[in-house]
Order: sequence, then C-alpha cells, then structure tokens
Amino acid sequence: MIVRLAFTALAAILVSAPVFSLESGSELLNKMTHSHRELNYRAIVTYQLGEQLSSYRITHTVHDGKEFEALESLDGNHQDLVHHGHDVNCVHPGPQLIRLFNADDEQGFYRYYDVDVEGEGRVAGRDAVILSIKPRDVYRLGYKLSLDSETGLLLRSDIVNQQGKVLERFQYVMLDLNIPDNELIVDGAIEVQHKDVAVNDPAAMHIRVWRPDWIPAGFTPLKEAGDGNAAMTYTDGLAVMSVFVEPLLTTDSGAVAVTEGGMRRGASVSYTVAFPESGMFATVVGEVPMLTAKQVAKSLSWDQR
Amino acid sequence: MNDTVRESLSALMDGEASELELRRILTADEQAIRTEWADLHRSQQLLKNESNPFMGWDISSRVMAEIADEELMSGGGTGWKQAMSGLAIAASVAAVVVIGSMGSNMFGGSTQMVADNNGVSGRVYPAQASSAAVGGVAVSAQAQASPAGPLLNNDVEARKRFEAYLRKHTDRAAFNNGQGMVSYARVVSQESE
Repeated sequence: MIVRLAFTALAAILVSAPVFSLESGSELLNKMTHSHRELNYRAIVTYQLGEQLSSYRITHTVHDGKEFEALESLDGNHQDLVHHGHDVNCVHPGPQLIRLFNADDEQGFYRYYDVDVEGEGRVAGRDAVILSIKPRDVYRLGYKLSLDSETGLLLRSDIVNQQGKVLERFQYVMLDLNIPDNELIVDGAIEVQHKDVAVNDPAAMHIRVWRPDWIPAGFTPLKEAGDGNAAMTYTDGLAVMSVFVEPLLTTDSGAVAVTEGGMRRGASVSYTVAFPESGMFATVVGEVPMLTAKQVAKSLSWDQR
Repeated sequence: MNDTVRESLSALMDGEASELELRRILTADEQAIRTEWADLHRSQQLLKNESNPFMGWDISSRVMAEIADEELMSGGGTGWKQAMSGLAIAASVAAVVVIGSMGSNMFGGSTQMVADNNGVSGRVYPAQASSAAVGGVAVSAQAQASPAGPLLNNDVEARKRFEAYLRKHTDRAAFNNGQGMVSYARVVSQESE
C-alpha cells in the first residue's frame, strides 16, 4: 500500500514537473502578448496605486476576426470605455519586439531585461506562473507578472522601480472564459482609438522638425498616423514612452508659462522641458523611471530651418 | 574650466581643499570637471601602480537615477537640504568604494572583489549611454546641484496637462505594453479622483 502511494506520488511529481518547466519565460511572455487579444473573456480587475484601489469589469470578445473590448469602472464615477473593430491579426510593434527573439538569444528585448520563471501561484482562482522581469540598466522599470498557466493571460502585474518598490498593481479577481462572442452594449461609453498603426506616411515623417538626440537603447519608435509633428512614441516591448511637443504659451509679461519639472502617478511619469529658442515645450510621458523621461526630454533638438 | 577650478580640484584630490575651493568646484557644474576628476583618479592609480577592477566603471548614472527618484518622492525640499542629502549619498557611495578597494588589497585578489561587489551594488553598468553621467564618484554630488526639477503634482495646470497627455499616451501604449485595454485604468482612475 505504502509502496503504491509512494509510486503514485512519484508519478504525480514526474507528470506535473515537466508541465511547469516546459514553457520558458520567453514562451510564456510570447503567449501573454497575444492571448489577451484572441480569447473571449470577462473579468473583474483591480488597479492599486498606493492607498487607492479601483475596480473595473473588462470584457473582450472576438467576432469575425474583429475584436471588441470594454472597460467599465465599478466604483466612483461612471467611466466606461469601448474599443471595437480592431483586426485580431494586427500585430503591434511592442509584442513584435518580444516575439522576435528567445531569452537564450540575448538579443533584442532580452538584451535589456532578465526574464526568469520565479514559481507558481494562484490568482483569481486560477493557476498562474510568476515571471520576474528585471531591467539590466537604469532606464527601465521592473515587472513581476503572474500569467494564467492555461491561456497565458496576464492575471497580475506589479510594476517595480529600480529600488524594488511596487509602483502600481493590476490584479484580476475573477475570470470567466466561457462567454458568448457577441458585443456588449455599454451606454455612454467613450470609444477609444489605438494610435500606433504602422502606416508609412512619408508626409508625416517629413514635417517633424524635432527629435530626441538620446533615447535608451532598445526603444523602437512606433510609426503612427495623425499627430505627425506633435508626438512620437517609443517602446522596448514592455515599457512605452511618448514625447509630445507643443508651442510655448507666453504670458503678457512675456514670461514662459511652462515650468520645467516632473509629475508622477503610479508607474507613469512625465517630464516637461521648455525650449524658448524654438518657441516650444516638450513633455515625455511613460511608464519609465523619472531619469529616463528627463534625459529624453532634455535631449530634444530642432532642425535648423 | 579655468585654472583656479583646476587647482581647487587637485587640492581636493589631495584632501587639502578649503571650504571655499570645494564650493567653487560644486558651483562650476561642468562636464569637463567630471571628466578631469575621473582622469586625475585614473592617473594617480596608474602612478601608484594600483590596478582596480572598477577603474573604467562609472556608477554615477545609477546614483543619479536614485537621486532623481528620491527627490521627486520627497517633493519640494529646500536647496541646501537637497545638497546635503546629495553629499550624504555621494559620501556613502565613496565609502563603499573605499572599503571596496581596501578589501581588494586585503585579500590581494580581484576575483574576490568582483564577487563581493555583486552583492553590494547589484546592477552597475558603465554609463557610456548617458551623456550626463561621466565622472568620478565624489563629483556625482553634482547631480544634486542640477536637481531633477520640482515635482509639479500640485500645479493645477501641469496636472491637467499630465492627464491629457497620459490619455494620448495610453492610446499608443495599450497595445504595445502587453496589457491591452486594462492600461486605461491608469487614465480613468485619475479622472474620477
């Protein structure tokens, strides 16, 4: 009897161990980048920022190859967002950067982050694998991600600063993967547009007369339609930062109304720098350390006309 | 950099700088000074025939990153307080380096040292990528002389602008950060505050 028990236990270990070790950190991360766009699910997710906690219901469906997504706030003011008609096969540059290489390649994304499988856990009643993603330089933040073992969905994400402090946390508390694929009707929801379509518009590229002279290695610019001269966005696969440029407002006394400085909220920071000689000011916004935002903002230069 | 500053710098190097000279160096925040300071150290080490595994290393970028974060967390401290805390950080870094090099002499081997250092400093990389961060350890107190700027969280206009930018940024970020629509919680939670 004891022998049989021991044998069963051994078999269980042998069967379960490979399930865990089969998928490397990079495979899991790849899965994460597309599963949230391909599955039908409804979830309750909490967003924690210091003492403040807010919760949302997220619904995602795919019908005829088109995505529908809704984010409804469950506390405070009604703030609902929907997004639909997005082609499920449209691949964005961020996920592309992650899918390009494996962790063993030490290339691309994996030159800038160490990705390790830290262990197993449970989130929203589901088995999860915990990934620890540590930046190799000072210009990025760290991540601790819990991914659903079955689907690769991101169930919990902690964004951690260089000193190891958690800046913000997203966590699913309920996940339902068995929902019909029809679109929800959310009254009064705001339609959001994703603005990073890879459109090669030479005109848009041509009119931009400014550029940052420094961005951290590994950040790739997104090509985008519209706003050609007012914004540029860069991503390294996980971190995204945008540079916005606007004309300086001058008050009656002729003094510049924009103060140089930073803003911080959760993992998001912004840093504003005025360039009086060009009559413009620039703001860098993103989920990056303040040092990165500041150095990028300060490195902006204008073409001589 | 003028000769007065250069003399003060070499006096500081020999530990004979007066308070006035120290102040002169600190106020003349120049790239050239940082480079000179690093060069002085390097040549002195060569003269004394000391080899140091960290000779080409520059940890000032990491120190600057930490200071930039700290400063913004603590909000609007007064100038001298910031300067003092900067000096304190620089001093502690210098202490680590001094103890470090003592260690390498004591143990007579550099392999030991590398292993020790991994525990202490975590990720330290040469900062070629950062133009703002060239120079020796003590001069990294300079990072404090050009602070990361005030935290504008209390400025209503700046805050409004931040909200608007964050929304635009999220339109671009949501499908590139692996998180998708959930990213908008950053925007929504802010607006309902």
